[in-house]
Amino acid sequence: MLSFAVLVPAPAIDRLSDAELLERVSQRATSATLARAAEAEFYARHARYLYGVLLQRVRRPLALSGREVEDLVQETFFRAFARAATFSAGDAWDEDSERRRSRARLGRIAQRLLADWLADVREVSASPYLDTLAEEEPAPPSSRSPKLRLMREALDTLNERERDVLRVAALYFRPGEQHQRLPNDVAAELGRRWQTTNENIRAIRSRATKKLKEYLETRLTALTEDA
Amino acid sequence: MTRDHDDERTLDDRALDALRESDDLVPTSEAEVERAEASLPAELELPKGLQSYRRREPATGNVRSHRREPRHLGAYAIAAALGALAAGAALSWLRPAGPTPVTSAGGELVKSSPSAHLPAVPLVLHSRCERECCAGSACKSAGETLRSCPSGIRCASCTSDNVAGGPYRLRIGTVIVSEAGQKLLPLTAPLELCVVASANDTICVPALSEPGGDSWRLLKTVSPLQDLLTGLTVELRKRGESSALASWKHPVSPTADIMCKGLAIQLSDGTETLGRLSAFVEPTHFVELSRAAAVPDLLQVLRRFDVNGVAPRVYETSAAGAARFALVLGPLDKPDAEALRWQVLDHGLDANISHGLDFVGNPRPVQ
Repeated sequence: MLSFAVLVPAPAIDRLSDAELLERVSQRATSATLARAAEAEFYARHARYLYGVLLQRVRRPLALSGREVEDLVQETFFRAFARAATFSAGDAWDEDSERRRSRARLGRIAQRLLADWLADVREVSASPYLDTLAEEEPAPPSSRSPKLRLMREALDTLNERERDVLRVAALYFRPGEQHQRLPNDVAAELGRRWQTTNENIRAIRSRATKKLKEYLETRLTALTEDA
Repeated sequence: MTRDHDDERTLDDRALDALRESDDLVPTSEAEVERAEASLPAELELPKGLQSYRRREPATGNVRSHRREPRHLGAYAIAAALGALAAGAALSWLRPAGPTPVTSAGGELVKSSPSAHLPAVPLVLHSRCERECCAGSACKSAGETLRSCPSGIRCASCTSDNVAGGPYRLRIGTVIVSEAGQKLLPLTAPLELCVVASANDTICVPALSEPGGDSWRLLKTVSPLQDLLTGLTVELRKRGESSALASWKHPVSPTADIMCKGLAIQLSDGTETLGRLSAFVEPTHFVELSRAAAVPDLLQVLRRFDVNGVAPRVYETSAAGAARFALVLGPLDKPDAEALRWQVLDHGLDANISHGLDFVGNPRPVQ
């Protein structure tokens, strides 16, 4: 009996999904060439996006660490590839969804790295928020929530210094903890940037939070009375 | 738990959500990514250094990078690994090691084990001092008064390069209080010297000398040439206050004279000179050949180069992990740094130019 071997060509690398690319990356021990090609393709798909958002949003806090956005982009991909085996495509069912999932993951890694670079290692690793940041998908807030909308308005009432301090403090936020603590090194760097002391940075943060609270309380009371 | 604490926590939660919603933070959910994608400018181009992924091996032998792994790897396992790796690091001096991961600037230099078969890459600094110069100990054509420079600069060009020059870093001394200052300044209060180094950057350091403190401080910022030309501002302030007790503002052109002798700054309250200090304007371009978690790794990288005309140095940096130490050439002025970097690139290797803002302490000369 004759048998035929059906040769199915391997799909071109640019046709592979992100999950498939990262799977190849994770198999670098068995095929370094394929892994390298997969890394290059994954990088080509997402580097421009990551560079763009990091440039827009973290250039200023990143400057506190003395590094450049380029460094953060490179290191983020390096970490993503080093942990490629942990990537899960989850229930992403189309190309757009998968792309966004990959980019959200890169964002979490970049955010974690940024926090790591800004602060002393011991202090940062003590944060459960950061420990889980690279793996967990935060629940997206609903922008339709009236309280969230009010909070956005409240943020707009802060001056640039207060908002900057809150923005950096957000990197060290620990869900569920009573007292959110800003690492000393980070407070010191912020102090240098804003020409003030560590203590004053903490006071600025506290004052900003109080402002937010007052704004919310006033508006929520008004909302309740209107209702 | 009190109600206030609950309120505060909810407020923090909500503030975090609002910052996310306001696109102040790095997008970490699919919804945020979608918004971020829509807001990216279409014409955004990647810088040259990011055009392709600069691959490096995962840091399997990197002690400090292991410290940065999340806790779920197991604190005890990490502690044990650290001990083993520390012992391994000591042994690596004694026998040829496998490829050692090194990071950052020398992206292509990641495999740092030297090969006896690879010829060393020649790096030669053809300093501008050889072509034209007006000051410095290495400048043969310098006049008598500009031969020996208080700044320590070895070669300063005759004219500042207003197009390609800069930025520069400032090294400032402590304030010597004048007789008038002794009477008029609140000397029992902590005083700061604040330098408006660029349009949006002010750096403050203690104004008066402190026991055990450095009398010269290299500011952790750079000043673009245009800002220096517009006018450098130095103010004496009470710590934590924004108003100046005395100040000095003057355009600074980094001429050979200034680069050699520095600036004599007189702090005045508008009427009297309350204090004096010196400051030096320094070139601040470093060609970073590589970064690594340990000095021996960098020394191995250095063996791939045959450096002439400039002394390689290793700096400790404020970064941790694989970027803790930097192997650099410099400080140099911008054109010299660019020329050296291109020599590295021409050999298919990589190098960055940095301003050394995260360098800590004095360098370790390595040749």
